[in-house]
Amino acid sequence: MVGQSFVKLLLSHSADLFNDYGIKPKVVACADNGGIVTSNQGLDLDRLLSVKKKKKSVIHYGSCEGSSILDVIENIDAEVVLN
Amino acid sequence: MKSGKNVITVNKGPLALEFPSLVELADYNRIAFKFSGTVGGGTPILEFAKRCLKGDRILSFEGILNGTTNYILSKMFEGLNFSQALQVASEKGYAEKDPTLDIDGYDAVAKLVIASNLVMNMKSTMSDVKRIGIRNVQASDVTKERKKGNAIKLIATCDGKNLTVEPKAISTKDPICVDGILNAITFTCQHSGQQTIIGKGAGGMETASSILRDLIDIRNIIRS
Repeated sequence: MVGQSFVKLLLSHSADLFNDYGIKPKVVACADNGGIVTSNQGLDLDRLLSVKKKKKSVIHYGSCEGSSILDVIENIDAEVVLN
Repeated sequence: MKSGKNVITVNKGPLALEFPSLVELADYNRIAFKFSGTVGGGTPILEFAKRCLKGDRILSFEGILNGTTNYILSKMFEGLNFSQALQVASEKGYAEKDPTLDIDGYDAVAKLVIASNLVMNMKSTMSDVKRIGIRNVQASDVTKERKKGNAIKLIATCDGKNLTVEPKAISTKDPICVDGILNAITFTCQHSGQQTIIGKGAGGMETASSILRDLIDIRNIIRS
């Protein structure tokens, strides 16, 4: 629930985050109990939320590489991990 | 941490069990490790102590760190017994199906451990905390205290040496005597005296706002 709220915050605050703090966050991976999806270009957050809501797991987003969550956390090009 | 990524967590468990080791691991790997949402949800309790009270010495702190038990005790103050109050909390979605972690005080203990490590530089873990939950708080005790102008609350305290979580009677005029699912904490400082911070201690959007604060902090650290 916190993860989904955070994605909603990123969507609704994107202009403020950029104007006030110079931050334009890109979510390159997202995991839940079903597995993990990744995108080096950045996941489409609206689609991610809608997939999670309708199909219960982000795994149905469509860019699943069958990787283990720990492998992705270790190897993906990212600055921050949120747990 | 080992792969050099900064970490934000809102997950209390690992910190409650292994705070000193995790902070050491973060320092060793030279990454930022942020966890402001673990205590107080969206209410910036840890940052208030760490940043706003910079330069002063915090001698002790005490407060209500668990919203579920505070809701139950608030209902008992209104006249319900423990079972009835727990029932209402479950119906409202404030208590988990298995409410043990809240009503037996473990959730408050975890938050106390995190706050005592960060704010008071104690090297404490869960086993260092004396813990009594609210399961045995009697409606008659609540009524008796109410007549004296007090309310029974699950209070977490840290005096720099001892850590406790237990039901205590406090004056209803005490600023930490908040009702419902609110959290409240008073810091006692050497020079600036006492300050109390009050706010919602849980909730999806509230906790998500703490993650955003941590993310902005990390951005500032990376920049400098």
